Amino acid sequence: MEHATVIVIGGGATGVGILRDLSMRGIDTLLIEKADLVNGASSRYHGLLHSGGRYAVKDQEAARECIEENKILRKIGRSCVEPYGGMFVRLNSDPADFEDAWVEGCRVSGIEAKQISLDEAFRIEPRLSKNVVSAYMVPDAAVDGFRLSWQNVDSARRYGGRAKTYEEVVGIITQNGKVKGIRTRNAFTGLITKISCDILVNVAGGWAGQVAKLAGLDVGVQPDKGTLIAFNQRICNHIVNRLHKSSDGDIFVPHGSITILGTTSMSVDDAEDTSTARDEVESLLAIGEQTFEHLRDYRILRCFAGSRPLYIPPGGAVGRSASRGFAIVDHGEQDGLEGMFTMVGGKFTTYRLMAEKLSDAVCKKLGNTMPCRTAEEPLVPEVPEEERKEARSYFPSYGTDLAATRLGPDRFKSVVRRLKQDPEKRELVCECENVTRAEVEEIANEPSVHQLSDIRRRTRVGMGTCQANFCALRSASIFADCRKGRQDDAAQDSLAQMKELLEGRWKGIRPVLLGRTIREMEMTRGMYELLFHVNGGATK
Amino acid sequence: MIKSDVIVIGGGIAGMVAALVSARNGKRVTMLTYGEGTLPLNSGVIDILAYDQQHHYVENPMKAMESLPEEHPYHRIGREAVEEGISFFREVMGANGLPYAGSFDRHLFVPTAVGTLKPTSFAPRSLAGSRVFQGRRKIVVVSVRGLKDFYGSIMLENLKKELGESRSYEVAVVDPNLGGGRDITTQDVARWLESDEGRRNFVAQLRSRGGSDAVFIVPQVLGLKDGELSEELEERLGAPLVETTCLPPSVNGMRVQRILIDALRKAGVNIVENTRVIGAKVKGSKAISVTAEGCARKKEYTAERFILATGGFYSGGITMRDFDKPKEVVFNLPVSFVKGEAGWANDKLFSDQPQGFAKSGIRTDAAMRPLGADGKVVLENVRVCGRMLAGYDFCFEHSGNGVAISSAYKAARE
Amino acid sequence: MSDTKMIEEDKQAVYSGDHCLSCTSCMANCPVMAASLEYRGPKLVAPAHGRMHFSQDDYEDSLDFCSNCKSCDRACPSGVAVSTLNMLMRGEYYRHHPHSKRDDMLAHGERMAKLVSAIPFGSTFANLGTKVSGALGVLSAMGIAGQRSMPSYASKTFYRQFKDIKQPKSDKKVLFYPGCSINYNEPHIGIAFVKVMNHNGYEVLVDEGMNCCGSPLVVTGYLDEAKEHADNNVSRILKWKEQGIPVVVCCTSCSLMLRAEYAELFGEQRMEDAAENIYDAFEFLEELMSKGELKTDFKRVDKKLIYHVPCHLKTQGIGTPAVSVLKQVPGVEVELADAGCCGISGNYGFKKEKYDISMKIGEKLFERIKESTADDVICDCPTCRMQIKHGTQTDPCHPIEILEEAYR
Repeated sequence: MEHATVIVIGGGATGVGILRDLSMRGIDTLLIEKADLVNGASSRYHGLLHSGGRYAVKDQEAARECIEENKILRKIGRSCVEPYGGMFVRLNSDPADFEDAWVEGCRVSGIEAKQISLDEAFRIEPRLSKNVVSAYMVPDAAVDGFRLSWQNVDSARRYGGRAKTYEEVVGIITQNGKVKGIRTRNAFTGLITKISCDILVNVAGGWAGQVAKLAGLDVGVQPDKGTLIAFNQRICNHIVNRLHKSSDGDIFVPHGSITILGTTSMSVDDAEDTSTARDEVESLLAIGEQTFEHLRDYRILRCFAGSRPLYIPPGGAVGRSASRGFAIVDHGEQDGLEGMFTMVGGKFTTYRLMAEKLSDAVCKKLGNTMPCRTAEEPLVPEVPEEERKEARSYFPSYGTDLAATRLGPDRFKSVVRRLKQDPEKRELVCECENVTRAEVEEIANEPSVHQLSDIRRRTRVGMGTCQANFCALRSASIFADCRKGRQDDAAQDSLAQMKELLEGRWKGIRPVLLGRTIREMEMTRGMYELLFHVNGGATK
Repeated sequence: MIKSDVIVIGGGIAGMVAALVSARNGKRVTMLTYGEGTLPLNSGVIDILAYDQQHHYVENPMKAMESLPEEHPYHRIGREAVEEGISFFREVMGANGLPYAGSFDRHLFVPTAVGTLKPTSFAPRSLAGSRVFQGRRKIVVVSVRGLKDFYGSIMLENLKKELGESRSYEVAVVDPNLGGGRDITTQDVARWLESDEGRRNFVAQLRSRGGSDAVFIVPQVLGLKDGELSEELEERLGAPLVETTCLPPSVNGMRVQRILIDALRKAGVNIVENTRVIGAKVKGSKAISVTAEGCARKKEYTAERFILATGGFYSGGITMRDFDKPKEVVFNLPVSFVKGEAGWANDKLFSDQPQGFAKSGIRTDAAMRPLGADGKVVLENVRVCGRMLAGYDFCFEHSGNGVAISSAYKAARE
Repeated sequence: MSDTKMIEEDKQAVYSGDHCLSCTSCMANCPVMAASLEYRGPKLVAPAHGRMHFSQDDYEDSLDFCSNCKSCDRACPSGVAVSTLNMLMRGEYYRHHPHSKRDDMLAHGERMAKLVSAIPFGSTFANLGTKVSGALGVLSAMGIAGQRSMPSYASKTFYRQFKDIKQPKSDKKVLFYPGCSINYNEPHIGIAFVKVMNHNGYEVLVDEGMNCCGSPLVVTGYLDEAKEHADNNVSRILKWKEQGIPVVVCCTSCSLMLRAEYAELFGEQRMEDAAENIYDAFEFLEELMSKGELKTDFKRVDKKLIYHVPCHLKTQGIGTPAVSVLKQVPGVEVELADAGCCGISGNYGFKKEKYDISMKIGEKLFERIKESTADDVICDCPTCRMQIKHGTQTDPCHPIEILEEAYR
């Protein structure tokens, strides 16, 4: 039977953080994820690396954690962080006394908040509403949740860490009040596998309650759905926050060539519920346009939702540890089941700190005395400048840096080798995000890739301006070509893969079908339904 | 103030056909265009109707047309105008070396770049697949080395499912030696084939792959202008060649565009490019002039009659900045649409029912004049045609160029 | 296009890349792509880069291939100022990279011309000089296409000749902007324009304080210098506007720069205000005609003309006013060449490494003209005329010359 000292359930930011932390401390750790990595809340949020400014009034401890972790992530995850800086703006309709409390809160929490003149604010953010009456700069940043999480896994692998995706935990094996292992089921084959372990860590986020139930335990998790809108352009150059009591739709985060506006907050029954509706979009737009008046003139790429897992302690009110934002349950202490931990709550910005705390608890149990080193060592080494220089002749403008940060040094090297050897591989599969054929082929051959959407998440194929109009055909065809001869491989049905990719995009587009977004959709449908006839019924 | 008899607003396929029909009827025509229409994206084949509202395939488009819902533009256009309009279009194409094969009462099949077979009513000879599939046992998919957007082996896998296992299938790779620079498009390969050397090379590389029961399936590369090259190459290879539809830019769409523009120039149509029409002057139930943006200054164009062919959401004839508030941009005509989220879009993109949003548009009477909510004509001297007509989802039912051409024909004739 | 207000009305090119739907219409219609496999294509150069503007500082190698002919801008259904974005990116590139001597020379034709016209017999020597250095291969060594002859200088500039014209005084006035080409190389076109306007009861003024429109500077990447020209010209145009005197231009690249590209490149409201006062010569005449104010006492001119409409005129969105005006002249027949871009695109075709591309682009037009039975070729753009002359051995003239002949 396969064995790991520690099994981590859940491939979100916390899970991969723990995998990395424990692996670096020399503990044999295996991560199990029921779908692809980072498919839950860790990628379904606005991608803000908090300075802590947002918590400066309500929760200064959280604010302090944010600013410390913010500084750490900028250092260890350079290629995942876009250090644009953040701006807090107060509108003339927002209460002025909150501003004073906020300035004081920042000071107490150690967040550098510098007031700037309105002239300066409008100069650096020309599209800001003229109703802004005061503006501050804080060290917010944008962070790529996908990339950061994969780099955690890549880093863990160097220390012997392992990760399995598309394996769902269907059973927890216990014996005499002690955890012995798990049973998993493969999402594609249905095959059941038993894996034994000494310690089991449940960080399944919104699904943590269901996982705990497998061991007969009760962990109260309330999924809280947040809806966000991605715009097709840079509306702002900095993260722009409303300086008022935190509410829906008041944060704008630029990422590369897009901007994300978020977010709503709504309790839902099921963490799988990532549906979005027109009224949520409408309410986000209505609030967002107070900060950027021309918001409705921009093209919306799509909207999406994620579920924050809020922890409800036994018999307690919601958010017992609200000040810290996350909670660690040692089921040995609480329920008499030795060797199992659950951690819920928290926020992406502090994922590393959370992972450290939980890893500390696990190490204590295992008698491991190695210190945590995740705050010092970069996730991946930088791609050396001379390698980038060589690559520049193969990539289109700025494609080199995009690919280098996307791929990390090892894959980048391999992709550049492919580009060098065969000029045909320099072809751009995705012209919006500058993804070459070589990169798609590189990723398509990775063992963790099972379907086209896995390639999408890893390369950003299909996530740009054209929302897969052009690259759905290209990537599905290349994927099928790469996996030729593999029996029962999903890639073989290229039409189904293509359609699935586009249906995935549609899910986010449907609730935001306004003028400009419809333009794009008419093109998609014209191409796939008419040019390619992929929605044809029988013609006999 | 520039005066004409007829002003056509929009330079897509509907606008061009309307302008040509008007000019050939002896009118002084001015056509105002902004950007390319959809022909560079569009395969240029004429779909009339291939699926009914329940998504059942229809054998006979003209017959199936009768049972379409009342709101459908075909009921305004009428069978006669559909036949006349499309025949007119075929005449123009035929006279310029791009004869269209097909018929009104049954479909022919065009192979697509992903290997499906697309039903359509009329297609240039080179795309009309079904003319050659019958009885041919050997299918040779020709992929072109370096050509992006055509994946021979994928096409072959899917085509096998359509044409059956009883035939033999193979991929032949032709090398046009265009590599080393940027990505290669179908236009580049078509240009290569327009040179004598390119054709000689092409034939030399493929000759041994043919045979009396073979058919070559190629991406849309058989010349930029007309159907001449495809005939020549068929003769030299001794086997039929069939082009597939491809990712944009569509070579065949641009052939059609080129021919129509030439015909318009010859017919004396005054084409004003790069000018966006943003409004109109109206007196009672009559349009007096339209206002267009050129560089820096607005300009007014007056005429007796206006044909509106500015397209739907894609081309910007209709816009919608806020939910439930679609707008027609030139005359501010009432737009018919489905209110509320439920009927606006289906759960699935590739659905078994039409998409509500796709049916948004302008309702007209049988003379293609715009109607208000009360069913009365809004502007007597305005005709509406093409994608902006209400009541049809061209992607779902496969009716795009059929509605565009026939409604344009009718708008210009009525 | 969508009914957006502010964002769409913003004439500045820099944000227009955001409207791109990636539809490929620009690539399908790019004449450089058709002639060269090196140019990656319009949307993949500055529009793509523009979207990442704030985060990346890399350059696309094939940016240099864009000729700024604006075929992409016209093809775009989404309002992206594709080629202007390319020019902005080129300007940005040259803020950090040195220019070649050749580019310096091609961009600064006005500087050279001023020098030449200031010396007695300067033009004779200069023309001789370019001929000799052409023969000696000096220009070629600099990177100028040796096959081409450089435009020769007129012995007397337009401005000087203008001073000698006795015009009837009139309340109806226009300001004529000759641009470098008419002033230094082809003053007779300017003279023809003055005669046409006088005949129609207009008094023509000139403003020697205006300088080169800046088009050669923009396409060669001297954006800051071009901005200086724009600032000067715009101030002067606004002064004329205040007095109610329109500025009329015969060169279509100059007029496009003055009325569209300034605002697209630099995004200042005063540039848009000035643009409203710029007229293409035939656009102005066509407006007179539609008001019934154009003199129609034409003499018969039995000429069949083939008209190459310059790309930069097509881009202005005013149609082909020369056709509607010339059609009024008895005996004149105008057919449109309708054969796409001529390929020279300002100084593009003068660059040694772009010569072949330039000639390949022009092939269709050359063929069309050679096949045509027309008596004369007409075209509003000076560099297009040079290209046509070079490619067909015909001697094209400006359409205003035909009109002037009809009024004679």
